[in-house]
Amino acid sequence: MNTPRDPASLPRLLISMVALLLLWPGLTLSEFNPGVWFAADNRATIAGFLADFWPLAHDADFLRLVARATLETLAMATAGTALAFLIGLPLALIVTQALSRRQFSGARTSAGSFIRAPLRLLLVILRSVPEIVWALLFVRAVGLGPTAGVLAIALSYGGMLGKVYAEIFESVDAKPARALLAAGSSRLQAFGYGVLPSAAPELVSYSVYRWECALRASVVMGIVGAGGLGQQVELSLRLFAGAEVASLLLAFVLLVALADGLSRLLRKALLT
Amino acid sequence: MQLQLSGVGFTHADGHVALRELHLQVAQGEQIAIIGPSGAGKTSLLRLLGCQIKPSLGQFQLGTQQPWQHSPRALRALRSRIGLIHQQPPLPPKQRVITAVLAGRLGQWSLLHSLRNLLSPQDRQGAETALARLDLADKLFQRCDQLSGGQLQRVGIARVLYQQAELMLADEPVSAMDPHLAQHTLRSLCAAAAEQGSTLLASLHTVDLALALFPRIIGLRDGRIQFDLPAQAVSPEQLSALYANERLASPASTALNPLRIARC
Repeated sequence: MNTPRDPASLPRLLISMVALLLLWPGLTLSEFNPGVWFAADNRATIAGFLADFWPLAHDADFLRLVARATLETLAMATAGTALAFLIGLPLALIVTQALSRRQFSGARTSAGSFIRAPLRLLLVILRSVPEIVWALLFVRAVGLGPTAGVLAIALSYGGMLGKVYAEIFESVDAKPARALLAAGSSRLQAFGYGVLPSAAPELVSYSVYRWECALRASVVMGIVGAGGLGQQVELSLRLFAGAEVASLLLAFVLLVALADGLSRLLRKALLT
Repeated sequence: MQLQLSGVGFTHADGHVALRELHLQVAQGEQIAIIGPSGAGKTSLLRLLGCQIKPSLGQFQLGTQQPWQHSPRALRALRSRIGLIHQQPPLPPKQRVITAVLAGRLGQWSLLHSLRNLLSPQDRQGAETALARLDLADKLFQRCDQLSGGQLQRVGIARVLYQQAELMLADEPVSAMDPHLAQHTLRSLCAAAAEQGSTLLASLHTVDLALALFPRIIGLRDGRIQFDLPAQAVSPEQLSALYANERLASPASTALNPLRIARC
């Protein structure tokens, strides 16, 4: 019996070799060295730190601090997302092609694209700068605290919401809006009565998802000084207070789980 | 609203000629049925009369003016007086019937009023009256995706009734209804148009309904007006000539007339 060789085996082998060859310089360049895990003093430090995790810090003063930081994080994400909505929605309405007059056989104007192009660029700039960088900038501008985080979320998420909203508007059936325009309604009216009813569930669903992301992002931004749980985690990390770090992380996990459940419920209710 | 076409033609962007050399005069308050085989240009004619497409040739007068010489603002104001009833009503599936009907008057409302109306329907009475004429008052608060095709068509008609359009254009408005309901609905539409003094033009594929309910009949074929007569004067010969299918009737002629392949 002479079974034919699998013709795919040689290319597969070659691709794996090439991948390994390409990855190796990356590992050395990034100074990845698993050996440091096993150096005695490092091991002692991390072991001591981790041993501190239990029991969790739970004295009344600290718990009050955790509660306050949790609320701060929640408020930061919510306020930031709300502001992002206020930035994103008008931009999306201007930028979207769904309400473009050229789509409709009325006045043929190219003025629209002159306004759209710079705003599109603005949206790209807003969302291409990561929120952590915005946060660093605003910590310099308005000082340590949640304000910087709120502004950072508002700007970067405003850019994302604007882009995605515009795409959602374009994805729904354009016929209702066109029929309304043909019966003499304005473009905003046509949006409200022709586009919004079909787009609303997806809009809310995406916004809630973004709010959930903002919650996680606000913790990261806290570490660079923008308030909330993140800032407390950073302080406790610096003090090597393992028990406090553990409590804060637990609070964070609970918060994210809660947001996750809430947004899932909301989306399920909306999309059916 | 009266209207007048002189030598109007319309050619699609792809070069397909939909309407040729139309001459037509319609007085205020007239009710006219447009009949003809599919592809005759009925929809194009209605869209042209509704100021949705611009004639490529000839003169089109609506009321006393030529709509396409208006500024965009004036054209919008003019469009708010025209109601087009679609064969497949373009209604968002998640919209409630009441909102869909009230949307008929958007052209007359301010932005603020329309936003308030979106949050909570203001003129319940008005929407209910328009729907009641079509026996749909009980569907007031249902969502459009819960309705059947025929019910949706009636919601589309109710919207134009609520709009109180001075020119009502209906494109196969009863195609999804059974014959009995279709007749009843068309009757209501004609009666409402007469009450409001609106001009009504409807394209229909059921010739019996057209002849029974409309005083004036226009036969359209190949983008041309084949006949334009009072309903009593339309003869069976004219009807069979209007719907005659050359290719089906005499296969020999297909050789002379190579099939035109429709471009999508």
